[in-house]
Amino acid sequence: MRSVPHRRGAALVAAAIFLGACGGGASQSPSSAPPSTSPTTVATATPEPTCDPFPTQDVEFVVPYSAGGGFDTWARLVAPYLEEQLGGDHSVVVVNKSGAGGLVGVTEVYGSEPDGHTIAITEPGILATSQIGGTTEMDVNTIMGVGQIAVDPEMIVVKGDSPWNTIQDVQAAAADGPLLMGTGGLAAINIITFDALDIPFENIVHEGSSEAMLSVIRGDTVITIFPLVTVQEQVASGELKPLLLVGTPRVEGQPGYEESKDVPTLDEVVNQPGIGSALEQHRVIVAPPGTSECVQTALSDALIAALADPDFIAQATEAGRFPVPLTGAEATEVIQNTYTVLEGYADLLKEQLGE
Amino acid sequence: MIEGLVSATAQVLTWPGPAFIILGVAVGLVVGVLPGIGGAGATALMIPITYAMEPEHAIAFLFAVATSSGLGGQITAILVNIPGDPPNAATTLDGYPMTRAGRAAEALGAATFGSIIGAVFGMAMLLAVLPLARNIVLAFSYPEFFMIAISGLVMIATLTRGQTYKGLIAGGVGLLLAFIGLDPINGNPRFTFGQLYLWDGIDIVPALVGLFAGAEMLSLYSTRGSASIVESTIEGRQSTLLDGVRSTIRHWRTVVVSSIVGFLVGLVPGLGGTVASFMAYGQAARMSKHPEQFGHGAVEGVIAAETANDADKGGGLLPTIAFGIPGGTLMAVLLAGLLLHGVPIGPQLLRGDLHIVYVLVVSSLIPRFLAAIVVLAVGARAIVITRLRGDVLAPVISVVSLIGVYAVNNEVRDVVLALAFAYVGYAMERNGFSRIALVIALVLGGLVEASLHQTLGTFGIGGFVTRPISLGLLAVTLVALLGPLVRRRIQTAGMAGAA
Repeated sequence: MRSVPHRRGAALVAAAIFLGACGGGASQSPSSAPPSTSPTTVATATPEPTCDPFPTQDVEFVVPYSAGGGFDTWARLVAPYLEEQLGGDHSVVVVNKSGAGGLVGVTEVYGSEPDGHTIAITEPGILATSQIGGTTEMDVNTIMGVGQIAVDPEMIVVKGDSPWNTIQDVQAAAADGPLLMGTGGLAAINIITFDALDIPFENIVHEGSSEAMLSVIRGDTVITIFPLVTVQEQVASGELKPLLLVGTPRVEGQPGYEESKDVPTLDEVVNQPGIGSALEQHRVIVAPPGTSECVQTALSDALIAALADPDFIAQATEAGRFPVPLTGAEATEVIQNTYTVLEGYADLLKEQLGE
Repeated sequence: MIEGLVSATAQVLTWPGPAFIILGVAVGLVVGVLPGIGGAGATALMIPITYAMEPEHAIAFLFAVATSSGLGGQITAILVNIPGDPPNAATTLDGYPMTRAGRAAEALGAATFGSIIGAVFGMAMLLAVLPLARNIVLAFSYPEFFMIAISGLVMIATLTRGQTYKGLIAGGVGLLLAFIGLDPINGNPRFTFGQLYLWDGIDIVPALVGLFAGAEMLSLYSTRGSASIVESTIEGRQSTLLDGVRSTIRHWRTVVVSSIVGFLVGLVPGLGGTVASFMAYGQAARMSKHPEQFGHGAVEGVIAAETANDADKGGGLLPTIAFGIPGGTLMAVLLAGLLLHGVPIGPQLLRGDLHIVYVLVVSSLIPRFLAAIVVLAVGARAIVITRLRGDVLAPVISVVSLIGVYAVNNEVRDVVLALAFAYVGYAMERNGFSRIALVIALVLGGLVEASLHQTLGTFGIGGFVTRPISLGLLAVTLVALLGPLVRRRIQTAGMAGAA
């Protein structure tokens, strides 16, 4: 009920801004018109879609997880550079809004004014899974991608001194019965990957990834899957043994390359090209449905430029991360593609997630 | 080891290290005094400003923020019954009654001194067991976690002696609240009424602020009106900070036991200072010759809580150092900060140069001494506020507390929850239900359920008794629970025999 007057008020504000922008544009047009433009008649016949200036206020950059985690680190690394690329007149403010495995923050951005001043960093897999499972009202396919910051492939790991040396060893062992998998909560990637590999498992849920990894190192659970960046240290030290990479392999020089270069990919093993890239962790920035293309382009261009800034790259590299930038349009496609792929497993996901 | 520590100290204190430490202590104390954002949250927010620092200085700075917040939080816990940081919650139990009895300075002195001793003990234990770090971390699994949680729940019996049924009811309610959220079996939402907000369960901060601070403010308004916190009937000699130091030394047994409890709890991933301080508090009550004084201004209660919530850092560092896997939120945040600086932590570290371990140890201790001096200086003066009129003090504290609750997660619903808990806490206090029993159950409920399920899913029910540490913890718990009963039985039998 309360949202009605609020919306109306916002519409008035938007109209006022629009009028103001037109006025500004009209007064500026004589001086700013490029000299090469042909006489006025052509311009009035096909009006160029002019964009309002953006941003007109601070941009709230919502991190739907608590401070200190992977998404938070990325957001805080990129925020100052994004601010600079957006003109520097308005701040990009990182706000942590954690809850419900990342859904609370994104849901809030989803329902906010689609003017580009509220954006979130998120992961398409979580959004798609929650829509398929019916735990969210959001329609993932209407979310506007602003860009992608990075992609993290995931790695199936077992204990360092496990007798299993290949994923085939695991498959053979699993023929005798389900394996104990240590997770920080069941996600689509666990369910679909192990289904594709035909490895039945029993899920032992933990408080978080740390506890789940320790359980594998102790030998209380026997297998798990986590982003490469999460298990990299433990793989390097030999505490964990990598068996299968789900997603895009690292190339030489990128962090995690050494730890993953000899590991086969899910695509190869189950012969389904593209399955890994739909399951790996894409870190994308999103804006609410209905965000104009003008705003999307402005944010997307700024993000791409920010991610290419040598200072940013140096800082990210020092933190063991590297960006894999995509534009807003491409990120939107990634989100929709993730949804399409996961929807193909809707029955399996619903069954496993106990909906 | 001594040279290692000395050279680490030198490195940490190389200019501009001290400047960063002072800055970190200042930030930590401020967020500590303000309820809401705690040490871990503040530390995470500070990570970006360490980008330009040397790794050693970054460590010292982050530790300064993290450890000072606990010291800041004890001031409000003792003076106005508001834990500034969740690990200070147990400090309110006796710290505040001491304030009301005019013994605020003694409580502050004991808490601060206890904190420092606890921190030193915790780090000493860490260095002592470093060669065995792997084995120790690997020896604790689901059955041990379950037993540690259960021994914590059993504390409710000790803390509610004389009001067993009311204690059990409060504890039961706490458990029910703890079960709200994602279930630990499949990770599905449970008792959430379709609200995403409830997926993560009842957060400890709004619960604590409501139950303690909120309830206290309500009672300041309603029952005491213009009266101040300190009971006006108190006259005669005021206690001093030095009294607190003396009490701490006198209760050295409590200090030692609390340090060990804190260190052990710190080892369990996901637990931390909050649980450590409650468990040490319960243990102190159990060991005490006059347990009936607990909750009514027993200085041992303050000492136990504040010692344990600093000793836990030593235990928390163990999994972090041994496997690069953080043993708690704070450690996770610190680890994230260290990784950003390319500091190698985890398995490689133990094999080679221990330099970074020494830096960690030194960095965790130096800021604490500085913070302690500030706390003693500021705290001694802040005691004045306990003599302010209640109807002046209460609105100010209410506003600050609720802003703090909001700031943790930028969530208005947390504020609503805190207000609801304020009325619950007020009603509980008036009717003699133990708020602490509710809090202990709320904090431990999730771990009890999760570790029970994890044990059954991996080791089976036998895991509880076939693993030596688990069995030992079970025995200790049973003795604690049944010991008093048996003793009474023997005494009655003895008397009957004599007659």
